[in-house]
Order: sequence, then structure tokens, then C-alpha cells
Amino acid sequence: MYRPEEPEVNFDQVMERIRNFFGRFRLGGGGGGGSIGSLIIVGLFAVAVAVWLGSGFFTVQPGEQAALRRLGAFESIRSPGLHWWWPSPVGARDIVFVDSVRQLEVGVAGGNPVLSESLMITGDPDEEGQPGEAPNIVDVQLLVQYDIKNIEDYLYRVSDPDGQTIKDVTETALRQVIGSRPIDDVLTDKKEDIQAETKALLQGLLDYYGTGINVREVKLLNVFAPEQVKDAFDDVVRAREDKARIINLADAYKESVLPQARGEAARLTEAAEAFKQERVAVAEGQAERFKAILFEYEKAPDVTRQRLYLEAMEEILPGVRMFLVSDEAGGNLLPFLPLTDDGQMPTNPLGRNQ
Amino acid sequence: MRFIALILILLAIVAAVIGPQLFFVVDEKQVAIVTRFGEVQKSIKSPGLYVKTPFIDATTYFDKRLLIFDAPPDSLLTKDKKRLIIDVYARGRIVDPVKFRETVRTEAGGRARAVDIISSELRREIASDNQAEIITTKREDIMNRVRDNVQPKLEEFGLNIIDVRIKRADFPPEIAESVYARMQAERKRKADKERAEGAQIDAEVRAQVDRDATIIRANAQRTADITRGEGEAQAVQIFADAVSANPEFYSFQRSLDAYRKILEANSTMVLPPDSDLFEFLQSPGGLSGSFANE
Repeated sequence: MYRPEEPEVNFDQVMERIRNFFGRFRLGGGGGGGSIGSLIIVGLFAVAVAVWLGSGFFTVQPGEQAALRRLGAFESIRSPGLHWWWPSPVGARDIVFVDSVRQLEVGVAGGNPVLSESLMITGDPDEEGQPGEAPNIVDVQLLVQYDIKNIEDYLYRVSDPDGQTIKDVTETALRQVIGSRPIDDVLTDKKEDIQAETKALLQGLLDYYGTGINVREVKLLNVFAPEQVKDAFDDVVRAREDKARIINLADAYKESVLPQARGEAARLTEAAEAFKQERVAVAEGQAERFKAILFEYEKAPDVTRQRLYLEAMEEILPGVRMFLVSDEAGGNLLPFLPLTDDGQMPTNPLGRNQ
Repeated sequence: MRFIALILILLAIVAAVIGPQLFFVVDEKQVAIVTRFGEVQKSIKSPGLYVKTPFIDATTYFDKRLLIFDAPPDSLLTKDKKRLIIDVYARGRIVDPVKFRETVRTEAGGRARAVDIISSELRREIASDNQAEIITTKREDIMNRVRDNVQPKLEEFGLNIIDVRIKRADFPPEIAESVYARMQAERKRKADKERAEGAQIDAEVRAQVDRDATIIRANAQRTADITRGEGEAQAVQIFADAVSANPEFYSFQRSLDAYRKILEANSTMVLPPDSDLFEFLQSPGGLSGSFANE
């Protein structure tokens, strides 16, 4: 990201060319060569100075800034465009692509985990709520994105600002934040907080050191339970899922059983209502029927009564086996019993009772 | 013309030979000291072009930027006799190059001394705090105390330490193993708890549902029974009202209906010949007033 400017003109080459030119001139020319030689020397100097001054032109590309030093001392900053500054050895210019977003990964390098960086202690409280008494270990991979906000600080105030410095500071900030929280915060729902807290701490330290670095984003790439305890953590997740599933099933039970009961209840009450209506209707019908018959009956009670009686008997008696027994015999009827269904008499009834 | 050329050549030679010996540049990132036969002449803290006596004076440059003092990770004993592997770093700069050169000579030397001092101070500080505090709440305090304590010692080397940080605090491998074991036990407890809670909720929900369903059915049964009772009562009422006009006729008529049902085919019946039914069977005159008097 940083390129010291090379002189754009190769002086040796230029001198060599001029000397060759001078040599040919000497060979070709005659007297008065000394004066011409002096002229050439002066001209050579002038050209050298011109070339040297010309090498002071430089371009700053969009997104870049140039920091300019004269005789070692920082002078000013140049924005994108064409500029001139003293060439080496009087001046020096450092062009930095300040707007380019740089990245730093902690706990992972090119897709491979770096456990010595990523395993860190969390500050879980014990049963009494004392923080840090029951620490856990968690595996955290972090990404930091940053750019340069102050090229002067970035270049001249801190050694290795975007090498060891930002790496040290990032690890420090992350571990400090993780160390102040329980592992479940880290693994589940407090990731946003952790990112924000880490970013604030990181930026604070970078500013305190005067690195000129601006942290754009701090992002937790991955947070795992360490390999040794992964199964146990997965099992908790499974247990939560089991719980949710069981609750779902219970709800489903609720949703099927209650409507069923309500349906059954409706059936019961409706059936009862139907029964009631039926009984009332039947009763009314019978009552009306009775009243109608009664009305007619009362016009000629005796005759009607006898007619009804006889009609009934006509209906009933044809199917009935009848025995007519006189009053005199009536007192002795018992010996004839039982009168069997097939009409067979007991074989010798009289012999026993008379 | 020849004269000018000569002067230019001379100047170039002088500049090439004397220049580097007479002038020196102190960069933005550097401080410098000028020594004459090992004796410090002056120290230069601001960048720019400076002059010294050629061939006699020598210049030494030091880095003026904020320097990294990185101590190697060290296994330290806490107050509660637990071990932690602590990796610490410090940041500081050379503020007095003369002192610095007199005491430690080189940047590497200065770095080694500073790291030694910071490490031993850290060891002392860690030994006065409990592990839990170091991990969580007291981290910042410890770092500040170490910084404040090393500061006067490092000042003697011309160094100014602005910050000391615990980069990492890790468990040694054998303790990490026991931490893993505890984590496993904790997770198992959590998983068991989740499952037990699930079973509890399941039982609760089902019990409540069953209760509600039973109540719904029972209430419906009650309503149904009441309704049926009402129906019966109304029917009885309606009929009784109708019958009250002539109860005797009703009992007669109802009895006839009942006989129809009771006396099925093949029933056996014993009747006296003088029964009302056969009134005319024995005498065409009939029995006197039998129906009317019943």
C-alpha cells in the first residue's frame, strides 16, 4: 500500500549518452574544441538540473494521497492530481492509497483456522453470579476492515501501523470484550453488541497510539464452541429443537382435541333439543288426538265406549288363546294351571284335587 | 565559459566528497544524536537538514515513532494459585535519545530491557489478583498499574511507555482440558433442562386440554339432560292438560291401547263366561247396565 518513489530518470544512462555524443563531436571537430567542451559541460549541467527538476512531477490517483517531506521534515499533503515536489535527495514523497479498504483476519488465515488466535476465554459467572469464576473457552474468528484517515500519522508516527500494531490491538480488544461476557452472549444473540464494543475499543486504542487508521467495520465471521465440546453444544441445540417440537405437538393435540370436544358437545345439546322438540310435538299430537276423540265420545258416551271396547277386542282376541271358565269352576281353577302355550292340559288334573 | 565549467566541476567534486560529511538529514520518523569520538555533542529531535563537523562527528539515528515492545507469552501464577498464559505488549517511544544511547546502546537492547521490566512487573501484578478478575473485570486496572509502575523505571532508559496491554490470557493446556470437561457437564445440564421443560410443557398442555375437553363435554351433557327433562316435562304437561278434561275416558282408552300391545298373538287368557265381553254370548238381552256402571 506504500510505495517510495523511484527517480524516474536513470542519470547514468543519460550521462553515458551525452558523453558519447561529446566524444564524436571531438573526433569530428578541429580547433577551439576546449571552448566547445566547456560549453558542453555547462550545458550538461543545465540538462542534468532540468532533468532532476523535471523528475519532481508526479500524479496522485483518485483515492490516493501524497505526503511530502523536504529534507526529512513533513511538509504537506497532496490530493489527487498532477503535482510537483522536490525530487530526491532534497524532497521525498510517499503516496498511499488511503481510500482502499484493507482487511485483517483474526483466528483464520486464508480460510484455515488459527486456533492459537481464535481460542479465547469468556467471563462466565458462577452460580453466585461472580463474573469469571466459571470461564469457558470459545472459538472466535473476526474480520476487521479499515482505511487510512490520517496519512501523516499513518506514515510517520507509529511503527508498523497496519502490520503488528493493528493485529495486536485487534486481538487485545476482542479478547477483552469476549472476556467480559458469558459464552452464550458470544454464541447467540449478543454478536452485534460484541462487534460494536470491539470496534469502539479498537478505534480508541488506534487513536491513542496515533496510527491514523480508521476502522470501518468489525465483523464476527464465525463463533464456534471449541472442537472438544462441540458435541455437547450441538446437543443443547438439539434439545431446544426437541423442546420446540414437543410443544408443537402438544399444541397440535390441543387444536385437535378441543374442537372435537366442542363438536361432541354441540351434538349432545342438539340431540337433546331435538328430543325435547320431538317429545313436545308427540305430546301435542297425542293430546290433540285425545281431545278430538273425547269431543266425539262425549256426544254419545255409552255407545262410543262400547264400540271402542269391542273394536279393541276384535283386534286383540283373534290371536289370543282363550279359556272360558265359569264362576263355579273359577274357585278351582288353580289345579288347571299352568295352561301351557301349546294348549295341552295337564294329564290328570282332577284326580289330584278332588 | 571555461571558467564556469571548471567551477561547476569543482563544485560537483566538493559536493560529492564533503557534502555527506558536512550535512545530514534527520527524517520525520527519526531522532539523531551527534557524537564526537563517542562523546555526545547534541541530540536532534525535529526533522530537517543539519550540519556537523566533517570526518570527526558521527551521527546515530533512532526510531522516533511509537515502538512495539512485545513480551513473549509467559505462564504466570495468579493470587488464587491458578496458572494463566499471558501475552502482553507495550507501546512507547524514545523521548531521550541521549539517555537511551548511554544506557542500552541500540534499539534491540532497549527493547530487551523494556520487555524484561514489563514482564517482571506483570508477574508481580498478576500474583496479586485472582484469575477471575484478571479475565474479566480487572484487566484494564492491571494493565494501567503495570504501565504506571514500569514508567519510572523505563524513563531511566529515555523511554516513555504510553500503554501496556494484555493481548491474550489463556489457560495452560492441562487446565483447558478441565475447563472443557466442565463446559461439557454444563451443556449436558442445559440440554437435560431443555428436554425436561419440554416434557413439562407437554404434560401441562395435554392435561389442560383434557380438562377443558371434559368440562366442555360435561357442560354439554348437563345442558342436554336439562333440555331432555324440559321436553319430557312439557310433554307430560301438555298431555296432562288434555287428559284432565276426562281422566276416566283417558284411562279407558289408554287401557285399550295397552291391551293391544300386551296381548300379543298366542297369549293365553282365562275369562269368566259372564265377562262383559260375552254379555250377548249367553243371552241376547245382555247383562243389565254393565258398561254404564263400570
